Amino acid sequence: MLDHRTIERYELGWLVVSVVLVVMLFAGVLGSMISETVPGFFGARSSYVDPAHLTGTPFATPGLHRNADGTLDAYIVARAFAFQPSTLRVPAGQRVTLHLLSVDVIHGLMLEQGNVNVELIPGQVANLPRTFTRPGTYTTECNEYCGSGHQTMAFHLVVEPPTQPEATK
Amino acid sequence: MTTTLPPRSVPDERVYALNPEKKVTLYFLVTGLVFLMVGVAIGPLQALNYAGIDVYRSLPFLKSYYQGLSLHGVLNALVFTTYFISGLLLYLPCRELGVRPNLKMSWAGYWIMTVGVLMAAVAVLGNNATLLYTFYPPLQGSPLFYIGAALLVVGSLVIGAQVVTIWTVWKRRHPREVTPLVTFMSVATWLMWFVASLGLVVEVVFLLIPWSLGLTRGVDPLLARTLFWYTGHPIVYFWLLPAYVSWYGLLPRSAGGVIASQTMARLAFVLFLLLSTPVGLHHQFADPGIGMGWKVLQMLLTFLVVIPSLLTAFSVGASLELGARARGGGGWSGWIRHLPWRDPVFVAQALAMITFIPGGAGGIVNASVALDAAVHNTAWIPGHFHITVGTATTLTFFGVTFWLLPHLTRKPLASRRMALWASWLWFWGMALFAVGMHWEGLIGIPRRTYLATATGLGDMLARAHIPMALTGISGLVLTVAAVLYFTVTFRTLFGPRVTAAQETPIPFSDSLEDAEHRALPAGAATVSPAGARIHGAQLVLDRLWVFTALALLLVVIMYGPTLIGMLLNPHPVPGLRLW
Repeated sequence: MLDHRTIERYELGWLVVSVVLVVMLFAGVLGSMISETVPGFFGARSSYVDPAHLTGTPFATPGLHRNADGTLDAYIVARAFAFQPSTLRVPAGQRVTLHLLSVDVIHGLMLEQGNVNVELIPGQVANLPRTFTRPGTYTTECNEYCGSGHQTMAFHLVVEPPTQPEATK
Repeated sequence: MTTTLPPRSVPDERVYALNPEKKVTLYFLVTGLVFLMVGVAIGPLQALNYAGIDVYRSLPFLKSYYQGLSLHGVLNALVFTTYFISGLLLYLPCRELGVRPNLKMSWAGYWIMTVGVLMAAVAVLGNNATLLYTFYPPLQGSPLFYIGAALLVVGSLVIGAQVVTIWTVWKRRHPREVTPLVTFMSVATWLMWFVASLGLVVEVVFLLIPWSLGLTRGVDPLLARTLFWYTGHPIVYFWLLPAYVSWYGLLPRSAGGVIASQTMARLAFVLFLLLSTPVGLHHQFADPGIGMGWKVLQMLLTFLVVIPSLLTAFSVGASLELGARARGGGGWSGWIRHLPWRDPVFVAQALAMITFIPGGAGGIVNASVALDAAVHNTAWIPGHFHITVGTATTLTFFGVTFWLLPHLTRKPLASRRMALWASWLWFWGMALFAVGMHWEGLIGIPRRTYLATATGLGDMLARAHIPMALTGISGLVLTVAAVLYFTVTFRTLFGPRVTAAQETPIPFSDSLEDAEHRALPAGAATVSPAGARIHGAQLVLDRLWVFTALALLLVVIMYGPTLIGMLLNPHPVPGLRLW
């Protein structure tokens, strides 16, 4: 029969093991963040745009914007029950910063390409720098309940091979 | 609800005369179970939706998949748990300390809760609060729903205040004594709930109720979400800790053993009191508008909550092993066969504990900011919480009812066999469900989606045929389990009474420390140095108000800057009804 002192000794050992496990877990996750398993964790800041007044902001013309210096910004507006644009074409291998904004209720978007999984809270702009590498068409939909048409709120990401001329929308 | 309670005229004995708190406890339990029955009845519809079978189209009383899901989530996760916990964690400390609660206050708690739930039910059943159980603004429901939700929480706080008052009075009368274990764990749970419920109370009372009544024009959705998850994560510990109370304090006796270490049990509960609340931001890793630094800090604190759960796994495992060895078991694992596998009280809880191992492990994935990106808002998440609250908690509560209902009503369990079948089928049903849902989540299937008519999932659905079939099948297995469980429960409630001498006892368990202390020869020093050390440590852990103050301080540090930033720079938006 085990007495309580023996059990206590094992238990203290188990406590130490638990603490070490937790520390390793934390170090592992921090390591994955620093090595950018999910890109731009520390770099990208969110900003605010009044969802009632998009005029004068880039969100008034959603789609891919090529800047003077050649960098790419994609502006995506979520509104029940559609994304604008509903199809975004981006060149493979080139860095694109996605700017996502909801203008009515909370929506969400997950893109398996580029490790995007973001809540779209009215007015809070999510800014996500990403490089899409594998060409193809990726179909997904809103992933936060937003009302009766939630299941029809689709989004298509088309990653185009780098040889093709880049399409803007 | 009153129809499900035993008849008022009891032939020869007055069952509740000696312990009138039994009656209020019974009302809490049975009302909770009735609401659970309604919530669970909707479950198979949700599961079949995953299998592509759309039952909603042919249902006259539910307007949409989302209305069904709102009912299912609110009734099972919020209503059933709150009732059951209020009953259980009121009754156990009262009986352990041998005191009677203030019955007027206890019944007031019950009726506040019930009025609240009925108000919310009117809103949800009328399709006026199809908000799912997270009710994120700016989706705007009927004020009845928000007021009802607030009353549900207020009712639970009235009961919690009862228990804490009883304990405080007991402490004053026994200043040098250590609080008995089950009372200690119950009080720690209630104090944690006081700290944890603040966010939801503030959100609902100051933001959502005035807004839904038209008194304010908008709500800041990010602030509301943050307040919601301030309570929304620790509420899972409010669901889990009562199961721990049973695993630590009652299950060892059901298994023929003793509590392996009271001190570790107390330490685990103090850690939960401290660490449960300042971790809610891990539900908001994907939210823009919240600093990454605070998310990472709260991630660390979330990981720290793993420690008391690992302590529990060890300690409860040791208790069961002690029990099995006392019953003649031996060897490295041979003792497992000597556990009471024919006793549904034990089996339901043992299966609940086994399920919590993958459940807890999945929780670590969700709490990791990098891995969360792969699973956030996918079917993985409901897969996770159906094996935590849906099994670890719920199946434990089923096991508790197998002794508690006979104890309260003095009516023996109607069928041990049916109770065993219900437990095993719930276990296997949830195992199938969890495999299916976690798998779908990794493919990218979103949660909370009317999948049967979804148009935007492309080839994901084609890749998810097998797991989606598993989810559908699991819904049928769980339906059978639920029918068996509710049959045995209500047959017990309407069954014949036995005499007072045959009453099922409360399985308060002995502890190894106490058993060894009593076994000392009569002439030995009454307190050994080791015994004095343990007593001292337990007295330190008994200062639950100090730990509550520390918990609040930790909350202020971890949430203060984020919340102050949002309050100073509010972004209200108007409400919408989009269903």
